Amino acid sequence: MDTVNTDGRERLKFFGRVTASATHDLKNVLAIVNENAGLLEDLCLLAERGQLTPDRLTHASGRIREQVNRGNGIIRRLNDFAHTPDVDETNVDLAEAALLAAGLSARFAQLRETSIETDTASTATVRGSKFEVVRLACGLLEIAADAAKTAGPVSIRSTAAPTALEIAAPEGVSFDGSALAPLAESAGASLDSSAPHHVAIVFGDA
Amino acid sequence: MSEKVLLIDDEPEFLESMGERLKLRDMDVDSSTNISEALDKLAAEQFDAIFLDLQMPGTNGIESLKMIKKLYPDLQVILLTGHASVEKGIEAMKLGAMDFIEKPADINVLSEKVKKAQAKKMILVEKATEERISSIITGKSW
Repeated sequence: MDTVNTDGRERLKFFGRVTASATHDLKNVLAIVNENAGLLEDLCLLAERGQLTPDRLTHASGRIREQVNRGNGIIRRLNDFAHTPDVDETNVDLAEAALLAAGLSARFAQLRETSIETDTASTATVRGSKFEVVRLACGLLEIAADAAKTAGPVSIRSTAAPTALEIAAPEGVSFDGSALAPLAESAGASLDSSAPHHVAIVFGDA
Repeated sequence: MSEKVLLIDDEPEFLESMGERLKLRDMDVDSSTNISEALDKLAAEQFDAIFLDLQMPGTNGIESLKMIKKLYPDLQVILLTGHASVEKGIEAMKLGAMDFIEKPADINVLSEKVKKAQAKKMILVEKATEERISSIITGKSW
């Protein structure tokens, strides 16, 4: 019973972390939209005095459009993530899971002065819980980002042979993902570390 | 006299647009996207107020506030944050922040805070000058 409660708490904590990070990002988007909308008002006042060049208007409205796109991306990812626990078992596309995990962990990485690169040219489908696969990938990305800091970007790659998600820190940086081995097992996978800066989530059945 | 403000935030688009709006309000604005660059600017120039983002890459906003207040106790620091919890607000005020504001913020409120910061700074400078003069007068054997 305790294990069940602990697992449930950990899942809830993960959901909370992801939501907090995404909503914080959205507040930043809104702050930039707010400043640029305000700037357009300021520029209208300048226009009344004949002190306005049109390029300033174009620049401010362009920044608003960029932030709308950014905000849309954050909400789309958050919505995809919110639907991951809808079914306990489904076909999980590893490339999609990698992109979602990278997007959800981007702010975490940014706060540690690093970034996340993705390579989803090769992919496979596994049967399982998309929520658990994404949680595991995010967990490993966070450990790798914590270790990498300013050494360079971390990466996540989906591969078909073996059926896996590979997480890597820059060479020379080592990280230990073994604490997430039980989570990998519950997601129907195992963790394989071929080098100190590299951990693969290897799935048993394709 | 125009107010001199330093904006510290890791979002360049935010710095650019907010900076432009404060400049349109006749303020002298500089900005930094990271704390080490901001510390260099604080060492080189005097500012009436700084706006500091609470969550910046590689640093904790509260730790940055502590560092800045230790180096420049009279500097007026206004914290800007995406999520203003009561606990963080109290902690920041205890550490000497002048104010704690949640994003998105109203430019008129921010401008008012800068004017208050400049007035506070002037009072502190005058007080320090008076104390220096008093110490010279009382310490001198006429």
